[in-house]
Amino acid sequence: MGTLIEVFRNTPVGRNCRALSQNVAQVLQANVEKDLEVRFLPLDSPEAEARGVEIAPCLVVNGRTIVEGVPGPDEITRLIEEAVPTAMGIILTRGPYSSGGAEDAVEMAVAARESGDEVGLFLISDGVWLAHKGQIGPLMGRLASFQEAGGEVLVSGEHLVAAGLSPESLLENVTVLSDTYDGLVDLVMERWDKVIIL
Amino acid sequence: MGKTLTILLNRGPYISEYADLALRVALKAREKGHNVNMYLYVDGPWVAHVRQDKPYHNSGMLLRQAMEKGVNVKICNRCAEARDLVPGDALEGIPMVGLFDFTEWLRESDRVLTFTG
Repeated sequence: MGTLIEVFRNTPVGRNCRALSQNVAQVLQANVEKDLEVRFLPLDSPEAEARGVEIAPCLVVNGRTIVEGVPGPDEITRLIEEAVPTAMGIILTRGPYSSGGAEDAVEMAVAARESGDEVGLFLISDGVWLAHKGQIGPLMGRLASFQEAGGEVLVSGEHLVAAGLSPESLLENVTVLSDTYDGLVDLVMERWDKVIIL
Repeated sequence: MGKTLTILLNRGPYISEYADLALRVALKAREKGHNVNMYLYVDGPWVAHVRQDKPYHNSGMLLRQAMEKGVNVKICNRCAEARDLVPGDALEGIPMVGLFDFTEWLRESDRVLTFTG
């Protein structure tokens, strides 16, 4: 998974901001094999507001690690190595089309995935119906985008059985957890940093 | 070494699957050695009102099991009061406390699950 490095600078670019940019460029050159994306942004950008950055120069890694001042190349390299994307769990308990829950869950999953998070969409209770193949409509297209972007779809085995759905009736590339609560507790406690239930 | 999980349950029994999902997650997390807290909020206190055995699915029994296994359960006192739910109506041994207890749990938790909405 790639690492996003944002460099926030004053306008016009001052001496310290230039120094930080040069350090970042040096790190970039020394790490061409890594999947690094660098953006140079002004302080009055929406990105700065989103990150809560008010002082330049400022370096932000993956939207989370925020360092003010001019870290050296070694420090920047370390920050990149330590940058771990958040693992997010979205637990969907509602069926599609009966409420906005499924749509919200899928849109949130897509958005989190786009910002570099590891995302698991866990379908439980009536949520399992989302994975039923053959549905037509934009929601399924969004779900497919999520899966194509590397998002994981997990389905409660217990609720699948309760709904009378067979694993064969599901979309491709979904993981059925035969022991629902054992799997869910491990995901919540050990794997995901953040969990939301919809 | 277990972690600490706090579960907020806003729903009563027999209206959705939330009470059962919350309790089964609590039981499993406890079984796996985690410290588990459950705060019954809004309609959640009604789960503690289910005290008798039933010839059908029984969320109150699951709550009893969870308590026996060491899940820490608390009831929001204002939610209980608003519903005229007095301590004698609820399963024994569940303190009726204010929201500050819940925020304390939040502070000391590694993970929080909210069964709401």
